[in-house]
Amino acid sequence: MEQITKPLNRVDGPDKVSGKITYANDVAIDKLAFGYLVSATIAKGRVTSIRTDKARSQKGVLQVFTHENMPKLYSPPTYISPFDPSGDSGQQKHVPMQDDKIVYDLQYVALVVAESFEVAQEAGHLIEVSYEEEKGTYEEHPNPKDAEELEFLFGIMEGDYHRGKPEAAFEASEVKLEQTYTTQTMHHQPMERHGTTAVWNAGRLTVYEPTAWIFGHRKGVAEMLGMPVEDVTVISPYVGGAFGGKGLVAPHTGIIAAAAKEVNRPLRVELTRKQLFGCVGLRSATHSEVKIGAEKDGTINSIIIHTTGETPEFQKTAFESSVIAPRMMYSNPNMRAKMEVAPVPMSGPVPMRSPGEASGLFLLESALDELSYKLGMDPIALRKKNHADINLETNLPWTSKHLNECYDVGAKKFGWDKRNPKIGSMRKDGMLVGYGMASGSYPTLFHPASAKAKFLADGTVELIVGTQEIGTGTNTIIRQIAADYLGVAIEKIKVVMGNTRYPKTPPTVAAFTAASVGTTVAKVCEQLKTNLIRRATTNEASPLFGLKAETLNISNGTITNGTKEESLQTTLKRAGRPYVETQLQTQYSPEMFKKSSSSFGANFVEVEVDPITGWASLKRIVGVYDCGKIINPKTAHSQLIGGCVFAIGMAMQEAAERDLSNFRYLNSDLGGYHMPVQADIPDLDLSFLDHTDKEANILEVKSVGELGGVGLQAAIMNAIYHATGIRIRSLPYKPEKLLEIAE
Amino acid sequence: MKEEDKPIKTGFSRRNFLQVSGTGVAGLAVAPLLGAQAAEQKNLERPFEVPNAVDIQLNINNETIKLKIDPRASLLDTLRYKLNMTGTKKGCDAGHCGACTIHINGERKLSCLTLAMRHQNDKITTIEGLAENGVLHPVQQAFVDNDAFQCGYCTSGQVMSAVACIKEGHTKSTEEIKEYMSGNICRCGAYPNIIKAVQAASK
Amino acid sequence: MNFFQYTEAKTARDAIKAKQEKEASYFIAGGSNLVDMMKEGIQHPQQLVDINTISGLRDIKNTGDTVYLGTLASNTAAAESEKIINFAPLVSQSLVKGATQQIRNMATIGGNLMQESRCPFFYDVSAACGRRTAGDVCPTVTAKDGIRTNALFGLNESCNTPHPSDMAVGMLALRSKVVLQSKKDTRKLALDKFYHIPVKENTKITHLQDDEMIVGVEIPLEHGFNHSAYLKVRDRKSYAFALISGAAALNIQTGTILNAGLASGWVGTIPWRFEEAENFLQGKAATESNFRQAAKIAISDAQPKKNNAFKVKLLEKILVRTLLMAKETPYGTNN
Repeated sequence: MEQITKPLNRVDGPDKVSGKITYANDVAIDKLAFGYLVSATIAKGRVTSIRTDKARSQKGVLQVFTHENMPKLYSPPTYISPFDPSGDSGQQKHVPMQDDKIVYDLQYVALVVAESFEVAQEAGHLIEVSYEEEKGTYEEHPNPKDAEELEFLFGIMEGDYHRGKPEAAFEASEVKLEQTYTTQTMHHQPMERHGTTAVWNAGRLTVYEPTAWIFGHRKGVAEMLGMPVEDVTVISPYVGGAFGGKGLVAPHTGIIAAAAKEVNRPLRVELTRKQLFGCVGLRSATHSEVKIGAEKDGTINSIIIHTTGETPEFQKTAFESSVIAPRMMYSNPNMRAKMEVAPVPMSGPVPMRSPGEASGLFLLESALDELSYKLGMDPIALRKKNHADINLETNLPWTSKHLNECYDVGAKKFGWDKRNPKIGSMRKDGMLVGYGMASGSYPTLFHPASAKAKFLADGTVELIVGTQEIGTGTNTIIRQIAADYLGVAIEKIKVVMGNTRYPKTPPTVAAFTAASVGTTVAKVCEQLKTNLIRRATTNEASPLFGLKAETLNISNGTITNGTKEESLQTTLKRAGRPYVETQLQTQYSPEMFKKSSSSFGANFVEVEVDPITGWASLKRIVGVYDCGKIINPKTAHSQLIGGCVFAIGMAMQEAAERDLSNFRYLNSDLGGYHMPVQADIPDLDLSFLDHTDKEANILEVKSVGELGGVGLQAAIMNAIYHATGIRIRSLPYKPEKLLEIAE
Repeated sequence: MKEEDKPIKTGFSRRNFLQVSGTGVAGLAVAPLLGAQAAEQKNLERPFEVPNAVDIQLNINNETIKLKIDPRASLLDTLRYKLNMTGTKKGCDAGHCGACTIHINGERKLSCLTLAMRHQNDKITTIEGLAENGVLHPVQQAFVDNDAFQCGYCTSGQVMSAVACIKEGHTKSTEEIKEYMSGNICRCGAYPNIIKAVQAASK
Repeated sequence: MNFFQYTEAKTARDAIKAKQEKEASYFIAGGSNLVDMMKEGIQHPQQLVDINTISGLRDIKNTGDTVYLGTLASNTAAAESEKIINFAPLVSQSLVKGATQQIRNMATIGGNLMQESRCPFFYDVSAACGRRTAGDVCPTVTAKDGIRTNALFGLNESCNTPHPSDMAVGMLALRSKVVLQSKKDTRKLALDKFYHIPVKENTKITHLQDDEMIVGVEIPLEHGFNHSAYLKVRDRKSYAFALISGAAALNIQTGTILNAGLASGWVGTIPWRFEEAENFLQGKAATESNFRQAAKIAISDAQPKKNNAFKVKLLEKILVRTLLMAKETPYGTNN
């Protein structure tokens, strides 16, 4: 293996730094019309009148759609299961502009189609909508009193899990902890806004859309329009950020495609930044009641978690499944983890980076930290004491687990031994200093994928996969895998992606692309290799004629056994073919269900708090991760820092703010929704352990993309507690939450 | 070539058009466009003009371009929709993210927050104008070497900001670079690598 | 955005004349606030009078008695001007905490002073707002428990959102004056007299007359300030409006405060100066204890509601910290 494990520069790097990448909404199309969606200004109620005459009078307006004249669209199915990603793909059942009802803030009420963006935007402003608002009383966090049963939880119908006798074990414990933790609504806000470019030709539809799941989008759009899937093509080679979003098809795609058909023009509509708050999915707010029962020596007997997540009134789904990750983290024999949902006027939530782990490990790792202080025990020692040697949720052994080593290596790098456990005892330059740590984990999933490998007469190889590049470096690692598994120089390998005409793959979510698409690429390359070698050994004119295939290998584009050799180009020429291609689809196998595969990590944080103002700053973060073999350390490291930045946002500064008198957004723009900027990010020392995982898959990799930052939110709040004695159980941090700081 | 002899462009870049018609970039083949006649045409026609369209002239990347625009058009939208120079990105259209950062007379500014027609006497530089003769600008190369991007969408703005940040002299410390690059949001979180790239390129 | 007429002015007189000749005429300089509002449908100018083309309004001068900033000087030019850094550093200290370098390159001094509200109700054309339509009221006035970001001072029946400028707060602490030119005269107004608390009768918050234009800001040097600092506490570390900011300028001679300037951002419906606290500090030793007393005086007439009550204590603490920072930051040191 030459290329795998090399920290290669991204193959799309030079184009990305030159502005040469064509994203979906950059594609130049002849006679393109531009659209502008108008959003409701109430969260619940109905449209009583909508006047479009001023809008229509603007020169250049082609059509104005409202619920009064919008073509019919069907609800896309929304039963989303990570175990069947070729299935349903709809973000929500509700399709706007089909009736006069408003069921969430910013819901679309009109679409202007015009010759230019400026005309469409101004016409949109001129549409006059009257509403009958339905008032309600709302709260800042989901209230367990309003909780209802979930429809399903990630396709696992177990919103209510238990093992052992959790209540009895809690009651019998020597040390008890009971706390409530909350997280607030968050938004993906990728730099590239969602939007659709819809082009019809003879009843067939091509959609250019930034999506993390071209096949899901194709199915969902086809279902919304009521047309055959085969007549829809989705193209999305490059996506400007997804983070778990852009994966489930949102209603705007169907609306825009239907409008394009009506006006008989190719149509591009980019959602406004504001609409990315209301309409394309979000991370549900959560409210969790946690009980931990332990012995004085730190053995945890029982963990009980009851989470209430916010959910739309029209469908009881939530992807922020706080109750899943805690089930496998530690060795407590007794556990209950129940999730319910509280309906509010919101649109369909979708997964958002580390969905469930983000809130689930925040609550768990905060609670464990509180327990450690109650016990007078070092936080790391407490975790080690309760190390889960097998996955107690599935009762399966791990494919590999080096979490203890993550703690040890991380503690050393961080200087954890300098920690004085006494609250507020550490100072630097007049500032309070706090140290905090937390565990992290993320599953390594696999889903069937297919890929095509094609060797061409000019000696190049095309690796054709219907996956999409959202910034993780997929196209780069595919090249590395192909180069090594095929034996061809990496410069000769071209990766072709992002079109539903290519072999089907699962979405780019849940950090399983390397394990799924990556292993599929490895296997299809082996298959191509076998194919090419056979062509040589069965051809009388070849010097390799009659040799056993097992004795031959391909190296640098040449089939060889060390003494005899033939270049692949010659083999191909001799075979009289312009190219040789082969396709392969991977499947689940029973082997995969015999062990549990997860990545693990340990997070360490140093914070400084001004003892006068209570303003907290992150000073440095150390993370050590157990992710198996790392195909490309450069891009993998970037995934880690990306995850940490995301977690910093969740912990320190990001939250939707709503007017609780009507549940409308107060901060639906990037000026008010505070994603991290450069100045928010401290020194990040993030590294991988050097262990491969031969049991996980043929590539020996575990998941990387979503592990970075998991648990970090708790580590930060744990550090703030250590510095100040104030425990923040409700994310995000705000300066006023430390106002009671003792001076 | 003398300044006056340089051809004055009258509209649309062929760059994106080529990408649509099927020639690949960076090893990526783009599928042929279904349904549009683009492949047969040399220019992208936009025959519609607003009633109050104005004739203006812009100097972009050392080329003078004459065009007729909607007077309400921002410089960003003029670059992207009128001239097909899609290297500059629209992140928020409200001055909150920095993705649309370009240089006007060498100073970094947000192209979404200014009207195109007010810049007829200015020298505008976009991301497309940084590389010379196909060789990446040192800042661009530093970004590639340090993996200072992931999805790439904020990257044009980051690079334009970084070039200016170095020229401004705001690279005296890591903290200073962080502060002066805080006007460019990166949701992928490539921040530490962006700092490394700026440090490398400012040496 | 609606269609508009556009004209370039050559002199201040021309600009004022052009503005008066057509209804709903707006000056445009940097445009970073106005263009945004036009795109959002908040402002509907029928005419833009471009004042960027007027010469002589960009100068930054040290006259001996004052430092003078021409109204068209960019925020960056002002923040990085040697004259400002050496003689009125609080202007620079407050400027660089606002926005980003890109926006500071575009924005002008006059534009910064005149910037409009950043309140979500102002930006929501479907909501009633007393700053868009005279006489309207919004939850900043009506919400029984108030709103987290609401002002603590200068409350009124029209609008209680805090003024967003950082620079104005720094200038206010330095006792700056705005220079206004009409067709006939020039006049100067102290900054705390230039702004006025929002009123029901109209949407303005300044005493800028219809026939006037800001031409510059004068920062007096007579008070002998030789220490200053600006602290901006906010929900992230950069590129965000303040939760609360503090601006302090001190004239300290051998440990005694001869003169103090103390102001705060995002606590008043207009930039807010704490004159009583300043008077208290005059003649006192520059100690933490006196800073704490001054802060207590500063917050004494705050008018909090339930949802922004925390701001009172936070303001007090921020003022203490700002004064301590100022004490450690004499003119001429890097801040």
